[in-house]
Amino acid sequence: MKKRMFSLLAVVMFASSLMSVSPALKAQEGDDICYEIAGNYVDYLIVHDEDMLFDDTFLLDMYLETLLDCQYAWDDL
Amino acid sequence: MHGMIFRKNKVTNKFKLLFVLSLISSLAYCQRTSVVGYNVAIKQKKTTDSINKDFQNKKEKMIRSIEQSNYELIFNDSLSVFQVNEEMQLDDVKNIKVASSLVGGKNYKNLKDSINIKQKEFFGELFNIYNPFNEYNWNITKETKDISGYKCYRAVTEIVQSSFIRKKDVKYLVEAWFTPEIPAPFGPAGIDGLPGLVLEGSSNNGSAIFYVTTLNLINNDKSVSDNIDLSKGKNISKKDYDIMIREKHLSLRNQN
Repeated sequence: MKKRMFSLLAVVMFASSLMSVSPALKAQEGDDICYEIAGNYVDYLIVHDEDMLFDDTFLLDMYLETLLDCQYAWDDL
Repeated sequence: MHGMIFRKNKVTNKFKLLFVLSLISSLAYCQRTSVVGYNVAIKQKKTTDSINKDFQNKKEKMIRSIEQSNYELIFNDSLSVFQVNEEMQLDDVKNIKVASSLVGGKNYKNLKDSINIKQKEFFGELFNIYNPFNEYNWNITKETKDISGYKCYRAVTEIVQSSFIRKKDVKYLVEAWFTPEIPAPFGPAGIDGLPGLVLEGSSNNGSAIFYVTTLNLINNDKSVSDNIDLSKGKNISKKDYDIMIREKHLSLRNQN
């Protein structure tokens, strides 16, 4: 009986620790995805900008804007 | 005799009055502020990208934001500031941000002290980026055209900029249509330094053309100093700013 109680407690503790870690894991996963999306968008702009309309500063601004938009959207999920 | 003296005095007084009036008007001319409105036309090849449809839509929306924004040049005899006209677009902060980014923030020029600054926000911090005073070595051509009733001359030059993100040097053709009829050496988005106001200009191989929409040569409701506060920005040279951009780009890409 004592052994069963102990294993149940271990499961509960493990589950609660998972629950506390999951928001951080979720945020990390979101960050990784958002950095990739922002990078891909800037690459897309460069490939489709034969006339060189966008300079480095503008491209970096767009990178940051896309990154933040994505992170806000991810947080709302 | 008395009549002659009286007439002579009358003439002298008239001259005095004329002198004072002309002095007042010339002082007013020196101190007057002019406001010129511009819009921009973006020439980009249409692409149909079925794989990156979201990116395509995002880019098209961005271009629309830039084209729908209004830009203004405020100047007097020695100072000018070029910026996105925020008064007309308070409903869309994002449009202003994108449009402002394209023109590199606020462009400030001070002829007396030979200062050329772009004031812009980067990662939440405001910078005064010091650029060379005479950025362009213009070649004025004999080509002319009429813009808003003013005879404009075409001036061209070429600049080479090193792009860290593209990993290559980029050559830009810069073109300006200026009118000596308005002898102010200012223009949109830093396209200036000519013997007359630039009414149309492009610095990106013709892919973004700024064109005049309104000309208000006497507008004392606005002033250059009310539209830019250099004390709020951190001073940095163009070279150091470019290094900062490069490092930020590297650190962001390395986080992925």
